[in-house]
Amino acid sequence: MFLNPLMFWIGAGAISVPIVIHLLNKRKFERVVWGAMRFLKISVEQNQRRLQIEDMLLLALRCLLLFILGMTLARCTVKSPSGAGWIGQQTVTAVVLLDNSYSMSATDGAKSRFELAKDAADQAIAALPTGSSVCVLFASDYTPTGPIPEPTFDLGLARKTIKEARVSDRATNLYPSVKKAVDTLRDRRAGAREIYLVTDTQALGWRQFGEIRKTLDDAQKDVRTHVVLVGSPETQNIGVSDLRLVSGPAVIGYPLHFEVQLTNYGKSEARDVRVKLRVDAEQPSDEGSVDIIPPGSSRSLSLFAKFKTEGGHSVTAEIDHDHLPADDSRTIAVRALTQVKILVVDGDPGAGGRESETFYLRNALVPVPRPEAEQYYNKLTVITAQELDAAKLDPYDAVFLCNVTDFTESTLAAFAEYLKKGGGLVFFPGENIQVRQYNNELAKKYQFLPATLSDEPHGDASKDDQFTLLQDKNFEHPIAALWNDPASSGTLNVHFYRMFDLTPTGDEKQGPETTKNAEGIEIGRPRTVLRFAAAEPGQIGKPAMMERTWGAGRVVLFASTADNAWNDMGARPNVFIPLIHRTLGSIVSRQDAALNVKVGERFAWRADNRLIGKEALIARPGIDANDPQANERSKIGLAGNVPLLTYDDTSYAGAYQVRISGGDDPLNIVFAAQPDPDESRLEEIAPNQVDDLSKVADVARWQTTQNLADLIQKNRVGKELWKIFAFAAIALATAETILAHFFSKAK
Amino acid sequence: MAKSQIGLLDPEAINRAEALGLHARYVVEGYMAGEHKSPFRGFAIEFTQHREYVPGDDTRHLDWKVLGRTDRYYLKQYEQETNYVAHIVLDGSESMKYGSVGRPHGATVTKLQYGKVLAACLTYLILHQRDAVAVGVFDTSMKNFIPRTGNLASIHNIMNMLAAFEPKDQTNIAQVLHTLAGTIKRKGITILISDLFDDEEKVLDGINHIRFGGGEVVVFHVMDPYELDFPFNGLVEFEGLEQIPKVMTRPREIRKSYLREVEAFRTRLREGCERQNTHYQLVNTAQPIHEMLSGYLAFRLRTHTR
Repeated sequence: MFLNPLMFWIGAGAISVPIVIHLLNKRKFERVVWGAMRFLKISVEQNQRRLQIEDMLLLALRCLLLFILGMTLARCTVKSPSGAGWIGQQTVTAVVLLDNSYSMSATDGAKSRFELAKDAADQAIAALPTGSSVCVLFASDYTPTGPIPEPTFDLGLARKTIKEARVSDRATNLYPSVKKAVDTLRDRRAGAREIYLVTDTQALGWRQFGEIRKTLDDAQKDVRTHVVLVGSPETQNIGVSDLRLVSGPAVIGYPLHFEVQLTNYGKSEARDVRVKLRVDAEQPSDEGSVDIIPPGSSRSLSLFAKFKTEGGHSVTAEIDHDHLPADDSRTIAVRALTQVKILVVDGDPGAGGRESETFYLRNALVPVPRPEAEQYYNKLTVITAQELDAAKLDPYDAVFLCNVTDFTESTLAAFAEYLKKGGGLVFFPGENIQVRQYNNELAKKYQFLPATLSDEPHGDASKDDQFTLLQDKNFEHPIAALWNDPASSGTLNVHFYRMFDLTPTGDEKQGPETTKNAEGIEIGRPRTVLRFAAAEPGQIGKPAMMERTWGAGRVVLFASTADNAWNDMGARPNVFIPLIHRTLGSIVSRQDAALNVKVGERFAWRADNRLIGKEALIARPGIDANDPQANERSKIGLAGNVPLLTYDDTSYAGAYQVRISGGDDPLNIVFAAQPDPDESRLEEIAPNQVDDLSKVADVARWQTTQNLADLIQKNRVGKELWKIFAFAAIALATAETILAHFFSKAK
Repeated sequence: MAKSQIGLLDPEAINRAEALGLHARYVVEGYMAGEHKSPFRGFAIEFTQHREYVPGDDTRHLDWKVLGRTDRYYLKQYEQETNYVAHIVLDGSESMKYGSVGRPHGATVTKLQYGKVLAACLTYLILHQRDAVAVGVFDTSMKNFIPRTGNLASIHNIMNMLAAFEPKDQTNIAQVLHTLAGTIKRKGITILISDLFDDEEKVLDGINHIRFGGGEVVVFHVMDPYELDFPFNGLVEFEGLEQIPKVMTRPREIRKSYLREVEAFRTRLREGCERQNTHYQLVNTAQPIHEMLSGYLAFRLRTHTR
């Protein structure tokens, strides 16, 4: 068998070269008219036979030499069926791709898929011939970097590494790993090259099937790929697919409303699924259950918890363990506050009281009787538009701007600075506003506003019978998602008499999640929170409320007023209070967004300037934060001009404890990583895809009872013989030279 | 002298050889008084003995002093000196046509040409010292022959004959030598110039025949340097000069064997010659003729048996 058959044929053809040269030489001779023929004849008669034999011998040697050279370049290989013949086996450079996504933690009761995969990988390495090298890569949804990124000849180390490997909480996408493996092997020329991809049968990993197949197909000539599928199909899985705080700012001492979403990824109905909610590592604060989750669908459940102390907390929702334990709990990090400081800017205070533009807003923000307002967590400061220039925005968590006519240049700059640091701006329009400045400066120049306003509001506020309603279903934005369940939250029965038309400044569905402006600040896509009811059934109504992220902050824009000049929203507390509180919550939690990352994403936390150069101790989930040995260290450095604490290895889901010990008071932060709920889908890869894959790789479904070594040995190309042939060629060349010299000596 | 003949006389060779001379090693029987020892006693200059007068003797040779003292009749006897007749026979067979002319370290002339010059020089030398010479060129038999002459002027004829000869036949030296032996009437010198490519036993036989008559034989064995050293390279097709079929071979690889054969052949000839007290002189045609000739004549002078 030849790895380079062309060279074999060239070598075979080259045999004719010495013969042709021999024949040509026979035609080229000197003619001498000779007198002393008698002696010559005797000599020739004595030697002719020997000369002929020598000639033939040299000719044969030369032919053989060329043939052997051809064989050397053709990279001839032989299979040694017993596994080890006199020539030994060809060495292999192997890449073991071990799927460590959390679907691999699915267990059949005895062993998890990951343990099976480790066994299979171990067998694969054990079956490599002596002198082989191997690199081990963990395959999940990113380009793998370890644990053994470059081939090592220490197979024992590789096996040990695999034995000690832990399954992560990442999702799977095998394409980056396969590509990396092929790239790693591309420049390795010695010996055979093999990839062992040990994974489960989850369809999700193969979502880039086309690319994987193409990559393997392109590499097929040089690289042999073994896909080892482990684990048995799993039909039942329920996971916590989402957990979020929905009730507004997380203030201590108040019951906080968390929404838990459970998804049944199985093929049969799930009944009576119990959920527990716990704060930090304490006893469950609340429990609930969902009666029925039909296969493939999700159910949400409201659970409540209270924070006792200020600062970072983790909130975990968990269900009883099933065969895939990794998605049975979900943790988020929440920053508990003692109070929320709000600045309300009144553009039209009027005579005060009910005439004030902000009367209803103030009541909605502090929805308690006046004596209790002191204790309430929302602390309001109300100023007029004229005082806005002089006001310092930094102490406030959110700024509500109601019917403010226009803004000075310095105020706009202050807004930008404020948003960059994580503030929130809420704009309510009104009769007083300068639409042109709103559109040109706020929307276009600074890109604060998610939408531009129509030049003139439309509708007549004096006519009570001509109004527009809000949408009544299909709420997509988290702020409004509450009303998806009319039984618990009532309906959005608000009459709008007069409003601006909002035109989004960008596409809501397409394009990048964020764009950067000239100063490098990330500005989010405009998103619609609420829409007006559509004029015709089946159409989509115009936006009534929009928002966008801006830097670390958030900007919300309403289409109508905060008071009841243009609508009756203020008179409907069952709508207005939750809407305002949820809006406030989304602004405040925007500051917490950095604390919650997807598994595998980088955690980046903007630190105070005084913390630059300080060291942070980071304890992963399940690690005791008080044990300094087990913690990882990271220094707070400058990224751009911003002091930033970063941490990359968020492979595990759950709460991460961060302690920054420098300075007078140690700072504790909690951040959490949430797994990708898609990984919970355990759908099998389609049989036709397996068949398709078989064309470019050896696909084997491995059971513990099988010996993987046997499966692979059968397929391994035998030892390459080029070294032997090269040696033979050198020996032949030497023999030819010596013999030619010896033969041409006078005799 | 015609132009072609001038080349046959090598002035350098003659100049050197004249001083040395070609003297007879053995007694020769010439018919003229010369400088060579004669078998006959006569009345010349060199006294040898007395003998008693017998009636009929010439009274001119009576030793009157002896008669006056002892009153006996004694005759004075003197040693007679004579000249010799040299037979120069040149092999003109086809194999003599070979000459490694134009090859590196080769000869400048063919063996035949060399032989012709050698024969011409010897002829001149012998005639010049007033000995007689007879010159013949042969192949299977004597083809051209100029009979005995002692006249230096006749060298003209001899050189014409030599220059005009063109070889066209094989060799049969023995036959020629036997024939020659029959024609030689007096003891003299026979000079054989040949490559001797013939059956060496028969050649030695022929030489023996001449020696039997009492004459001296000198063998000039003419060989080309390429025949002696065989320094050919590459693939060579040898075309035989005497109707021997072509042979294709790589000479370098059989050189040793060839040299062995040549050496054995020469050894047999030389030993055969020495057994018959015959001078065997190997003549390499690469060697200038004056060097070869003066070398031989000097050697000959040393072994002179006067």
